[in-house]
Amino acid sequence: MRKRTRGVMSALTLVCACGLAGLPVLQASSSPSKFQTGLSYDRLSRTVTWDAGAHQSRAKADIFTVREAIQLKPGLAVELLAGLSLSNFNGLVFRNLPVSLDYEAGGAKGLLLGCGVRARLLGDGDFEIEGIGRFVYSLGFNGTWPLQGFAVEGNSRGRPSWLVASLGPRISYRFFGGFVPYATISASFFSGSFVMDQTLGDLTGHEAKTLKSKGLLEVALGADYRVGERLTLRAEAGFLPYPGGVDGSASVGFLYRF
Amino acid sequence: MRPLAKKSHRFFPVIPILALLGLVSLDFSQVRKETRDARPSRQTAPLIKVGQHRRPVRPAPPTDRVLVKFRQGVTPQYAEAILQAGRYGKIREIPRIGVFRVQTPPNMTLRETLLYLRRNPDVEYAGPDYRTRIFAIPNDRYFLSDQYNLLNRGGILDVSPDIQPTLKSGADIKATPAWEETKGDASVIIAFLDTGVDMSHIELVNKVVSPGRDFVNNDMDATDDNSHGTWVAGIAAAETNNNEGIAGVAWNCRVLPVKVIDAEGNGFYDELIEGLIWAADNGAKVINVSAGGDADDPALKAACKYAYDKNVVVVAAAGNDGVSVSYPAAYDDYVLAVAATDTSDEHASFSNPGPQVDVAAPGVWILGPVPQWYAGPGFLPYIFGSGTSAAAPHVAGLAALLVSVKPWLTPKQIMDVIRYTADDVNKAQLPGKDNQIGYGRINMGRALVPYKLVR
Repeated sequence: MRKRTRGVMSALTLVCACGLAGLPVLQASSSPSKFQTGLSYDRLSRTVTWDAGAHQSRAKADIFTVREAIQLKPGLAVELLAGLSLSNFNGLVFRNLPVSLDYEAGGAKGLLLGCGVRARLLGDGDFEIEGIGRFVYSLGFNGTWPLQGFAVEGNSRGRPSWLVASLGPRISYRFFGGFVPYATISASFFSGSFVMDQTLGDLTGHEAKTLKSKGLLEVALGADYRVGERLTLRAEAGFLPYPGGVDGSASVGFLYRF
Repeated sequence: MRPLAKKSHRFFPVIPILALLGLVSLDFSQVRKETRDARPSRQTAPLIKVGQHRRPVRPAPPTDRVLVKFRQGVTPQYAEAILQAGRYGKIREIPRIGVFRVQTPPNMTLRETLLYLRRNPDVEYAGPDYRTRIFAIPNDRYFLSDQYNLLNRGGILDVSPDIQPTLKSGADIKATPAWEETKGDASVIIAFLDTGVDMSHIELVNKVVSPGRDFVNNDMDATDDNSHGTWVAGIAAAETNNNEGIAGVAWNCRVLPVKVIDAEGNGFYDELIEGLIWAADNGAKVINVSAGGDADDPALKAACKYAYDKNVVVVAAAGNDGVSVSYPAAYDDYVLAVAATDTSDEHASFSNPGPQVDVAAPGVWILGPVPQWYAGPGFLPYIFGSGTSAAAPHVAGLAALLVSVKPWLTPKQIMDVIRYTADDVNKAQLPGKDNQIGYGRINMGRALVPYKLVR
């Protein structure tokens, strides 16, 4: 596990290093506005249902990503994401195992990959409307937890995974020059799974739980703040109302334009 | 659940009953409850009667029956013809496992009959149809009690002025946390292979699924004519949360009475064998056998395997001789053998030890229902008794709760869950699985409440 994490970290470092090493090349060979690299931290919190909606709990994730945005043509850009996630699915109860488990082990590390697209739909004066689509997938690493207090030795091994797909319009207000506030309304689909295997003496069990988000429509408010020619800071807060409550998300980061 | 027993205790002083212990019969020391305390006017001045109740128990004579299994290829018709030619009486076939029960001819001893049958090349197996008996230990002490077995808060068990064993707090099966997870499903049926069940008892009238089957009198009415079966069934599945009497381990699971033991507390292997098969064929998901015999028998083992293969969990009392585990409890692959612990989680001295013991459960001074005619006029229909007979239904109740919430588990898995989640209460002396209490005293909470997986 630790070895695998180190491997992923090494790969990410390599990606960053390559990105930085390629800077002069990119600057030399491309238009200065075509590539953006950034780092961001996202906090995700979703109320999820499982066992066919019979139970609910909260899925949380802390996400650290490296982003690479490429402008394909004016008004159209794609984005690639890679990073690490720390997913917390506390409150899940696995009752289909021989000995039921109540997961309270907190964050589980995972590898995160994603992509996005951003296309200008309308741009008139101070307002701009873009279509934003994003897909993010977190593949959890296996975690192992000993089962203690039983007459025989045993352990449970679990792996959480989840994905978020969202699509919707973003309205930006460009009146303030370097400070661009925006609002996004998007259909946001969250789906997760947590696979748990159990071994206790002669007993073995396997349970895969599917999680669905209760909220489907996300409203996000954020702003880009351009610091100089190349650096842009971004902060965003999102809200997902659902019957009986509201979930939230937050994101901070920066983009560097080459 | 404890308040129910406490209420009875306060308002209805109990009467210890002494029972005579027969050579091969189980008896349980008992306390009858004064019914007149049910009247409000008597609550402030309950009458306490102390007396001795004797239940006549006759030692069963040696068996005069034989179980015969013919080799493969021998048709049932041909087998029956062989037996009729040998002038064996009372031929009865147990078709599912191809076994015949016959009576020894009048002019032959059991030994001669067996020798004669074993010489026949068509016979695969011939053995005595051993007698069974219900389990209990003799006890003539006076006592007062409640259901410490389900929730033990410590203190003293007020048996009598000179018998006041200490209750060790926590020496129980952790029923209350488990009931938060499940109280059982009404579709899960526990068959009690015993002396029958009092189907009119307030604790069982709404729990019995059918009049059952009586293999002793060969009819379809398994009414209890002894009291043992009612007591055992009530421990596992008494109607609970009804402001009456006692709590059962499996609140909502139901009862299938199967009478395989006669009014005197005796029976034969063939009745037990047929009872196992009939119960498995008639919807039981759990079978409790608080009875057994001393001899290994392939037909009895085959019947246990039959039930096991039909996805039925078979739970049996280890026995009370203090010697070795009785049959069918000793069939390790197919049956969960249950030993008894006492009010302090100690191994009960009467409980049979052996490598086949899987788990233990409280079996000393356990309160359960009995027929009103047995309790006698003026007494509540409940008694306290001891024996692995009382321990086994605790485990049967737990098995029924597990089947209720996890019907996909196999009998082997259910048995393993019960084994592995037990508390090794004697680990200071005998760490790990041992011959006295197996893996330990069952822990319903650990078996049913989700284990908290923390970092």
